[in-house]
Amino acid sequence: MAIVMGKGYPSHVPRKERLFPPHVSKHRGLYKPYFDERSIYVAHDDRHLITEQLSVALDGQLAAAEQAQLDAHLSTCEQCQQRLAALRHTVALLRALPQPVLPRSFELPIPLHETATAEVVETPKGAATQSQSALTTAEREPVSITAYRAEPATIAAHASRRSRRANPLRTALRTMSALAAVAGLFLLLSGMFAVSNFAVTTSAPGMQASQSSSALPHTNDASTPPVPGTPTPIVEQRVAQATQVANLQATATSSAQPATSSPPVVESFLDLSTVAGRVSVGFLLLLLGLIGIIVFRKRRYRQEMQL
Amino acid sequence: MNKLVRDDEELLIARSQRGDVSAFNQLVLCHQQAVFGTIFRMLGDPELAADLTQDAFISAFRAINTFRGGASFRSWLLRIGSNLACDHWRRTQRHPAESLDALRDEDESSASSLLSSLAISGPEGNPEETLLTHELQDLIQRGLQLLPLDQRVAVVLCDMEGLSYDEIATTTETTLGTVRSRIARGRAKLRLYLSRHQELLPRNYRLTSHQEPHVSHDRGL
Repeated sequence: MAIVMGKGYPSHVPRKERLFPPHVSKHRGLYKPYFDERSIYVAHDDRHLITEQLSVALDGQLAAAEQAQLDAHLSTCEQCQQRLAALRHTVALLRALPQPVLPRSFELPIPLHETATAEVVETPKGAATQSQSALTTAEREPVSITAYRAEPATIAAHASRRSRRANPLRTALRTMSALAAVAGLFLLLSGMFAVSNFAVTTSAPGMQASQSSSALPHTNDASTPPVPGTPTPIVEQRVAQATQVANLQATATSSAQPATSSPPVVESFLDLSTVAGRVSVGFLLLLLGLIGIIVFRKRRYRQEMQL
Repeated sequence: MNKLVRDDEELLIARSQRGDVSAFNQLVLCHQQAVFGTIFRMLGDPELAADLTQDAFISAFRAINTFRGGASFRSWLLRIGSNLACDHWRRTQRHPAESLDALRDEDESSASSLLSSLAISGPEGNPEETLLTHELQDLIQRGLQLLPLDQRVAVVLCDMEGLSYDEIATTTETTLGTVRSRIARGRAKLRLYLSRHQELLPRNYRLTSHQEPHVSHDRGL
């Protein structure tokens, strides 16, 4: 039994399975995975079995040729017989371990079932019909579960999370209406501030005394004369109409109402350079924003109620 | 453990995929011993194993639509369970207390003789004596927990849950060759470990190699 080490291996022995002299430590480290134990090549054909062969042989999973080779070697090699016996003993110990006693049953509670089905129903229409079609096919022939593919399956699996999550479009609309409301409030406040400021400044010097001390529309009227290129009687008329329109807005009608009145009214109504325009645009934006917020919030609540 | 017929199981799976929890619970009853046993043997803590088993079944029910009919349902469940156990192990226990690699280079020659001296009776032992002592169970459990995770999963699935190599390959999502080598290395390390700690073992335990005890130990685990 001449132990061959390092060089001098027959060519059919894979290079990675050749054993190097023990003092070459890096090689031992390198080839450790292939040599669990003393799997030393003994001679040309008669080599010791590696642990994997023994282990697989214990499970009866060796190929026929391998098994024959193993048997042939075992019949002559006492060392490998001992190793096999020890390994078999270890495996027997493992198998003899009793099954652990279940501390409880792991059945799922039924309420989970109800919410789960409700969530599945809540899926978006496309996904729902898709998975429902898959379900009906499975219902018709229960054997072909392979009909289930990843697409409807994953959609249904993530249905719960998706229904919980808000619709991005709705979120965007809600955000936009909130922004509009804020901007409208800002414009409204700035217009009011300008009006009151202007009223204070104009009343103090006593300029245009006939109109400055009167109500708000008239102070608006006082602010309009500086606007160039507009004859004063028309301005008077416009402001009157603008206040009329603003009153209409205050009754919470739609924004289509100013369009029915004359075009120049709309023009001055939406003109941000005038205080009246700022106030009315701000009011409009605020109104729209509030309506939007209310509408979209309502929708979300309704959906949660349905859940 | 009562085995359902394959067709029944497929029917139950199909019903579970439609959201039927009672059908899924039948599958749970059928497989909970294997899932719990695997997780328990991997981690060694019964309460933790129970929690993880419950988690495994919940996530299995959530994801049951992703189960393909072709594969074995048991492998699929065990994959979920062993992955949960592996995740937990990696989270909690970065550094194993004791390294088995230190054992490899020494005690080679004494290992086999010691272990064979442990095996007093052969395969045809007494059925009454198949129960292992509690010390030995503890020892084996500790040895298992010293194995690297991949080898531990493979050994537990093979030698304790009795899965075939193919099923283990499906469960661990590896190749057959990898399964073979993992099982072999895990067993070899366990053998070294047991022979090393032979002095802790009771002297007079008996063992039958191919018979699983049906009666559980008095202390349960």
